[in-house]
Amino acid sequence: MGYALFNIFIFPGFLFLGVISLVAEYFDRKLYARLQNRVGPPWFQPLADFIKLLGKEDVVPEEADKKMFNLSPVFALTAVMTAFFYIPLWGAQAIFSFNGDLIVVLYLLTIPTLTFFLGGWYSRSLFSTIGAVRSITQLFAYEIPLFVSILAPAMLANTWSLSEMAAYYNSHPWFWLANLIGFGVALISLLGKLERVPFDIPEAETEIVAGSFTEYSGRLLAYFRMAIDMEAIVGASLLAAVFLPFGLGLSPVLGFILYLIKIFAIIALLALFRTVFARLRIDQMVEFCWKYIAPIAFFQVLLDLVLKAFVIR
Amino acid sequence: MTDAETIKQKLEAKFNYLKGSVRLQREKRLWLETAYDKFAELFDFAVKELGFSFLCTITGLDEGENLGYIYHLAQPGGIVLNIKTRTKKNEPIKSITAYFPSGNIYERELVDLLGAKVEGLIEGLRYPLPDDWPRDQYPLRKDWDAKVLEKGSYGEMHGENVQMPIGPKQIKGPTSFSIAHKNDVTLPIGPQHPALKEPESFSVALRGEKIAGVELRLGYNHRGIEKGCEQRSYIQDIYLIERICGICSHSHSTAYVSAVEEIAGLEIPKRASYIRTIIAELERIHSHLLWLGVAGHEIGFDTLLMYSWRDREAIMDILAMLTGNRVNYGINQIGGVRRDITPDQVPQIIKVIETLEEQTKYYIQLALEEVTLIQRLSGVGVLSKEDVLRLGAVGPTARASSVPRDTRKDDPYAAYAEMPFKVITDDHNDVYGRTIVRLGELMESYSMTKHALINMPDGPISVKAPRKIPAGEAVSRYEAPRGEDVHYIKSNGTENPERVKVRAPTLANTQAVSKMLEDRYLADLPIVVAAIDPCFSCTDRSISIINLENEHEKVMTWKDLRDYSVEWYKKQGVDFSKMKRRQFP
Amino acid sequence: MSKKPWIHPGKMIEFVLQSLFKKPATVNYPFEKMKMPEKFRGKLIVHPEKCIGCLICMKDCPAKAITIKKIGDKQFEAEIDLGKCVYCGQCVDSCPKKAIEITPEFELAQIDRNKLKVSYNAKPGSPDSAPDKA
Repeated sequence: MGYALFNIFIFPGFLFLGVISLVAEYFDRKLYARLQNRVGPPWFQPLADFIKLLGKEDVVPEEADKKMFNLSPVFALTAVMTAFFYIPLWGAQAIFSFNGDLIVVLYLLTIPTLTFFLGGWYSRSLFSTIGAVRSITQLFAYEIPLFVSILAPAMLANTWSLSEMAAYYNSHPWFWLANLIGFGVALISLLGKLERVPFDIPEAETEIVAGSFTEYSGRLLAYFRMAIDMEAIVGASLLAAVFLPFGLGLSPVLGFILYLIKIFAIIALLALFRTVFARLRIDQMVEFCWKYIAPIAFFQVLLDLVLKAFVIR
Repeated sequence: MTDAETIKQKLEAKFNYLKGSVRLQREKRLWLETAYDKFAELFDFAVKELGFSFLCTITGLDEGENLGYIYHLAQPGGIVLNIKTRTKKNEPIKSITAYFPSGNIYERELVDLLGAKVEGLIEGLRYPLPDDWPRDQYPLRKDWDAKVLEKGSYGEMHGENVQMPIGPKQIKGPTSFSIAHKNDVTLPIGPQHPALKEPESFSVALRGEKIAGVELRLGYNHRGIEKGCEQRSYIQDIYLIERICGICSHSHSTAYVSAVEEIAGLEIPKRASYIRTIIAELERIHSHLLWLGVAGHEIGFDTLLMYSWRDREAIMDILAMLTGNRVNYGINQIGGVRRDITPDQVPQIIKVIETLEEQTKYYIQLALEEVTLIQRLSGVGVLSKEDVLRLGAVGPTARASSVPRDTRKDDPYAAYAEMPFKVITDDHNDVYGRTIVRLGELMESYSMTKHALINMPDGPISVKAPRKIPAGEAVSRYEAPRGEDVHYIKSNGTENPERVKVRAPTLANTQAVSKMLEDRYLADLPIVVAAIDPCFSCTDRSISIINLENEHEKVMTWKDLRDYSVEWYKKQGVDFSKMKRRQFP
Repeated sequence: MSKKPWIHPGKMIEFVLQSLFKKPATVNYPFEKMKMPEKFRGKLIVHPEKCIGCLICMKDCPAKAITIKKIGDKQFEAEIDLGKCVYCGQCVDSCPKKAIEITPEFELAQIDRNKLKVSYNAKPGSPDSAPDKA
């Protein structure tokens, strides 16, 4: 019981997740700056930003719905933190697992987007409303490819539980190579979920000030930003667990290091995408996702079905 | 016989009363004067028969009992016809928007600043004065002094003559909002918005994500430069005019100084005109690199911003080395330039230009091949060739729609008549075309600078200029990075000018913005506005309320400002008395 | 170089990856200082012993930043308000005795506006005093 509490709160629970998401934000911003021939922020910048925001006054607009305005960031943070517990990090077993937890994790990861929408909508400000609507529109575009591409390895492993999937791939080495196309699709969809360039339309600074977050300040904005940072880590961990499940049998220390390498490689790829692309318009983004990404995801599912039926007995 | 002389003969043949009074002051400048009752016919003849298809600007003058108006018309060959007319102070004149829709904003300026009455002007937002400016104060009149407004704190300025601002919903008449449906959402972009580098206000009526109409409100950057020029000497005015804008400061300075030199009859040495040209092209390079970065930032491509502005730093360092400052170069003086380019500086400059040439070739390739860039810039801000001619757009905005309008070729000034260069046009008609045009102009500027540096003649760099400029007037045109910049100066024999009128290129381009945004998405608005390369510092110059004479400093306390704004909003119907306000010490 | 452009996303990628290995283009001010070129127009200094009191500089200054006062027989005091000065250098050109000089010093910020007024007096028998700036 004590050990479980330690797991939840300290390691690899809330504290660990908080620390590593701040480190990942630093890594992302520093890499982005270096790619642009600039210096970039010092290592303590994300922590300093978080603490500074906590100390500022929360301004709640008069016309906003106070309950929803105040609760949306909390929901976002909670959902993301909860999702972390079901993902196997460096062994084949997550902290908690049950059959069907894959679906639960995907559902929990959708909640932050919904809270961005609710927060923006209930701010009753013009820019927030536009940002909120864009968030939901974008959700329709990337959600299907993301789900379908994550479905494919699950089908190959014959289970709905992340931990059992990891165990399956651990006992059948090299099978994960069949899912690499899905990995590409999931990476692009993750860009959409995290609202990063080229899909950062809901938070387009030069068009609608800050989208859903325009009216947020102080503590609530700190929670939202922390939720976004954590979502990056949880998303990257999910991708690593589903598509890169190799080396899970190593000793705890080596496994931990391998896990960190996987996570930071994904974050580095995301930072690289941020640097070399311009932002797409919402209609172009939806078109792109449905025309190109979704069919590729379905192709991956087909590939896995074929493999399961004919190749693997 | 030159074209200007042909035109002069045609005018004198058609209108007998003009015989002998049409003046050809220098090549490509025709001046004539007429009474107002004969003006309409003359104007019609000039526009329809003589081919003067572009209205540069309309200058208003306060001549004691009368108000003078000068209509500056230009034709594609570069000849400018200046028609002067006058009426008594309260007599109305007819609007010429039937011929030139772009004349709308110039006439509004006359109404606001000089108190002219223009019939047929469609109702709309004020330009350039703020909405709560009293309606009977005309700042540009000779008998108006800023002391009139100085009555204690700003809140007492109102008096009874104040009319509250007209919002888009209250305008009656044919504006773009008449097509907006009552369920549309109105989104205010500006005056403060992250997309805008300078304040201006666009009220955008939205239907979902599509734009149904745009109402443009300018004038937030007004500073009173035209009136300020009348109260300072010619020498002091060089620096004031230079500070109209940071990016095109040399443009304004050179145009002003050329006009003064024309009135004084000074011929500047060749070396001086070459130096002016070199600085002008260096300014064009740094302005276009700045634009490239801004365009990248507007579409979310920050990497392009960082790289192009890093390259721009190299040019700024060269300009600092040549002129002594990174912006506001101060290299012009009446009669020539103030500093020389020494022979050891020339190889340094050429080295930097060659590095930049390589970089720009890479950017051109990027523009042709990067998918997200092409997708965001193509098909956006479409302006057909007919629209350009009708709305009077200038600069790269016009050249991207296949209109080869470039003052450096049409009406050469400084050393441009002797320099080989191409006018870059493109036929895409949209923002992508404007990108291509600006990148092409960068390459041309590099070769022009190198050519000028290598072929610069030796000699003195200035001639002595008198302090009192004899009476006269002149119009000078200059191709600023954003388009054509027009200066009109009238002198009266003293050390201060009588009237200085500046028409910056962005003012001519803003008329086209509403047309460009019709039926587009909200996401395109920042890049469309950025594509005309707006420089609102150049565009707005009106009157401030700081007294110039006795150095009276007026500092408003926070309490005053807050009280004033509360009063203002109360009159609008918004009551803040429920809100708990923190008490400041 | 006239091959047909191959339109693909991520064109900048090779360029951008090279920057990882280059030194950043940012100057780490205030730990590293940028050096301005020689003739950069920064702070003005006056040599009051050369001043003849013609007041042409006061007449030509666009910002009314310089004031010349007579403090004795052929002794003049010059006061420059560095806050008003626009560093155009017109006074340098206008002065017939070349008593005003322009230096490349540009770090002139102060918290108190009054400290920006710098005066140069020529007291009889002593060289011009150092500018009084705290």
